[in-house]
Amino acid sequence: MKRLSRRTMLRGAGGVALGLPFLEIMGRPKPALGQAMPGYTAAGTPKRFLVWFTPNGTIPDAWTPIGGETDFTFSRILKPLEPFRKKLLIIDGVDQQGEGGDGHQNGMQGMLTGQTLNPGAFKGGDGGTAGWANGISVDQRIAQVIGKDTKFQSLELGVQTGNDENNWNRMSLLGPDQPLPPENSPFKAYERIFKDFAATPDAANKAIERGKTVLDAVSENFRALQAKLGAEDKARLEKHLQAITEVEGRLGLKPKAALDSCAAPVLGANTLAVTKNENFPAVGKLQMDLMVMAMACDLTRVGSIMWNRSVGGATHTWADPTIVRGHHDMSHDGDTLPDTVEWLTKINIWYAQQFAYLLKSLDDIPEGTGTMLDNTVIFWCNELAKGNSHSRNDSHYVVAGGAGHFKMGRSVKFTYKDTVRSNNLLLSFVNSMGIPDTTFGKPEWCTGPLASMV
Amino acid sequence: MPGRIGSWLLLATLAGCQGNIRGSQDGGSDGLVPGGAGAGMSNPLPPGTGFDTKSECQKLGTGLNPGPSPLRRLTRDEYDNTLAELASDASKPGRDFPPEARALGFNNIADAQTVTAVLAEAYQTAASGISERATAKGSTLLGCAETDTACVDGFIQRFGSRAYRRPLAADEAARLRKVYDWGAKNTTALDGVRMVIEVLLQSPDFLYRPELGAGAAVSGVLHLSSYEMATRLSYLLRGSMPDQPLLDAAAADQLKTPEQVLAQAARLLADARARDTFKSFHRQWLDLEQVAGIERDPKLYAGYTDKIPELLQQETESFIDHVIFEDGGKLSTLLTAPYTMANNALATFYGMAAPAGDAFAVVQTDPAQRKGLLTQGSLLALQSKPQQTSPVHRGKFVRESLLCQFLPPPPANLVITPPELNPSLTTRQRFSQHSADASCSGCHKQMDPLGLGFEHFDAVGRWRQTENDLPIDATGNLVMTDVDGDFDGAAALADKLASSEQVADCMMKEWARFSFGRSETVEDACTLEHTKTKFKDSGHDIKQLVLALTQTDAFLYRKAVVP
Repeated sequence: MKRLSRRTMLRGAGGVALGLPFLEIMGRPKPALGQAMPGYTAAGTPKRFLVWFTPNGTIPDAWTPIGGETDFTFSRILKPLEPFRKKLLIIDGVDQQGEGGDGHQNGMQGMLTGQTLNPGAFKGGDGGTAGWANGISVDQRIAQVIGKDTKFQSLELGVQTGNDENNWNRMSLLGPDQPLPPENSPFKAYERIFKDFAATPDAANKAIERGKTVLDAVSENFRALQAKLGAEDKARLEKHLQAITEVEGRLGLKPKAALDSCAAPVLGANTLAVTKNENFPAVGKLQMDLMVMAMACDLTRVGSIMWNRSVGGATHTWADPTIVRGHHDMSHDGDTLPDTVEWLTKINIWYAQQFAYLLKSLDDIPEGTGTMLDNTVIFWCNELAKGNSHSRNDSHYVVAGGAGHFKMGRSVKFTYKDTVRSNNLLLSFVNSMGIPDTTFGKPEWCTGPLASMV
Repeated sequence: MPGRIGSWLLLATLAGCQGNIRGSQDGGSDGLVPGGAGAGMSNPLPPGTGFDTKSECQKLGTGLNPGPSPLRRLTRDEYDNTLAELASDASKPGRDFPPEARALGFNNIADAQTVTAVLAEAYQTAASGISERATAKGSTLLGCAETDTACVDGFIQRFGSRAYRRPLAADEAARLRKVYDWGAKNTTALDGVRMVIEVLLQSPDFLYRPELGAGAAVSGVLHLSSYEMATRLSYLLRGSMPDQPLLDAAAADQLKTPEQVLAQAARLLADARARDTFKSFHRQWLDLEQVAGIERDPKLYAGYTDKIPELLQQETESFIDHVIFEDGGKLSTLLTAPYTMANNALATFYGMAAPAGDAFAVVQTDPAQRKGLLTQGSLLALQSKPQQTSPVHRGKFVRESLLCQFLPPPPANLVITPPELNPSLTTRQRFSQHSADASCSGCHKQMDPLGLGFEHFDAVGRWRQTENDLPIDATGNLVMTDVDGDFDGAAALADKLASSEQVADCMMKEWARFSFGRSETVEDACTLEHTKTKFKDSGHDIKQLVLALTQTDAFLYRKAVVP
């Protein structure tokens, strides 16, 4: 590929102005001919990665497409995704890795990390206890590289994930034992993301210098105390100090590749009770809108949306008015109960409809020669394959977008006998962002990127 | 992987359900058995949950054994309470912080407290808001001109030492002064003061409770400094920064001996603020926060309006408060008091004699039906399903929360079919499958016969004589405890549990975790054993239990820091 011209950068084929040529602004070395920068497509457009989580397993028979790799027919659950057929890679039967904890803990902590669980104090459903995963999650590994140029290295949004923190409701980790909390309130998320969005440069400059003065002094106090403490407590404070450094680094960072479609979203009055069951769909829609806009405005390139939580008990009356029981409770029922199987199917259909809304929102935003969706990899995951068995060796995933890396428009099926470990899939995601890592998660569980994805 | 799951299951099932559950009486005398349902597997227990306190304490001998003292961070509530006193700021910014991990059931377990940029940012936002409000009235905060550097130095020392809960060192004050100087030069002097407050409120000496200890170490163990002890006592019993008497005692270095600590603890326990600490403990121990979210179809449960859940929570919280602070504070009273607390709306909902008005007052119950905590709507509804009671969950709750025993989950690859609702059967009849089917009965005999004792209470905690026009059978059976045997109804079960040493030990252990912010280790054997004895000797007086905890090695001492 030839060096990006200013004209190419400013005006893509879709006629969309692309801000300033960010590669130049960042003073990065230009990509060699035919090569893309990590985090950018060959056309120089930023790549993005988004995790989409829904809990408690699915109903595999109603999920898995029927037919061959490219001539497949959608089953009931994924049918709402049909309009995006060419931009989907449906992967069934991956052996999701993890070790330790109860089924939900193991699934939640292993899903994005491909790691064992450390010992810890969270009570599992099995009467034992377990802690956090022993390593970084795939979204955060990606964010370490492609999140450096944006105000937020990553954004974690949630929909009624619970007002506490445990290994059932955290899936992203900065490293061993370092879970990232999702923001459950779209209103608080808005404050965080779009605060100072319209600040005038002069006022901003002064505020930046002042902010740095304060945080520098805070950091100095951290180091002074660290010098007096034992190793464990020192390490505790070190993590805190790193967080402060990240916040400080954010001061004054401006979006480099905001699209024309970028505009701070309008949420309406903050009157929505975000934890009330009946508001689950409304909160979810706001979170999706915020995520799409945060990415369109180039405030972040890595994100996750976590619907409910592992062991989540949302009562999905909006999926079917006859549902009166919580999701997790029903997910334990046997396969021989037609009502429950139907309800669980409807819940997953509803989630697929939300996923379709997200895909459409991204696909409606032109970028470069395609759309934002094309430049994004979206990973729909679930901590369990099936709720009543708590199995994880036959997981059901959807990958959307593809960022020009994956071969889309396919349904790829494995069985547990193939032992396709999820670490390979996670490594493929890292590679899809142009990051040339050769392993991910627990090394023994990773043999290389998943060949059948490209 | 399938193979691994398989072997794990086998172990869990064997260990869990064939007579060897963790915390069962088969083990040590205090209900803490060695090994247990996770030992040696991929799912280890937190260090030290399985040991016999008596024999382990004997092994420890006569030395001091404080166990670990991890660096603790203020919880969201502690942050808010502290700011209310430190800066007269009642805005409770902590409510916007990310939620805390509830490890071991509690939000203050040091090892589970994590920091991310989201929290660092929340601290920053809170500090900015607080400092803005504090300086809104100009120099009134300082009591002198903010442009006068002597005045500012005085403020830094005064405000800073309250924020750090100890006097500031010279270099600490100097760093803060430098921040003020930047403001005075680049923005305004008042903004410089504001910046000083922002730094203080984000500094680790404020957000954490660092303890370096004082004096010379004996066998690697130190006293806390009096200021550090004031902070320990204060956050345990006040949930906030030390009050003036504590700070005075610290300044006079009079928080060194166990007697001095006990005297202050007793003083604090008599203060109204201690009630909030007890409320917080019980709210977390019993998961009462969940009660407010219990939704029920009013068509199925007439009178169950949106207002009821919070009234149920309030009932239990005011009941606990009343028992502990107005009625002798005995564990047995908590479990068997022939009264509850209700206001007009709640008593009407229950169908009890109703007091007038919205205020909660003591309402006598029929002790043959209802007595004590376990017969209150909050817990009964919380351990039920939207359309039906759940003997399984009610039984599991008593096992886990009151007896500190844990049950493994159903085997992972077992297809589970809970009994369908059936209008011609009682819940007991529907659940008889569990005792009939050998694959279920191993575990369920520990839950169902216990939980079925509550069958006179429906899924919102109201008394019922019949279910589906069939008479209720609320007979039950308790196994693997020190009070095993048959019983009829929840009131009889409450009497049994009130006489159980295992229940008392369980409460002691929960309080120890809450107080020390960590799980117990073998080094704590004497701390736990001595507390247990004092609790028992007091007739299981809950306030005496908490006082006893302040007299332990774990509370009075720490290991010397090796930087």
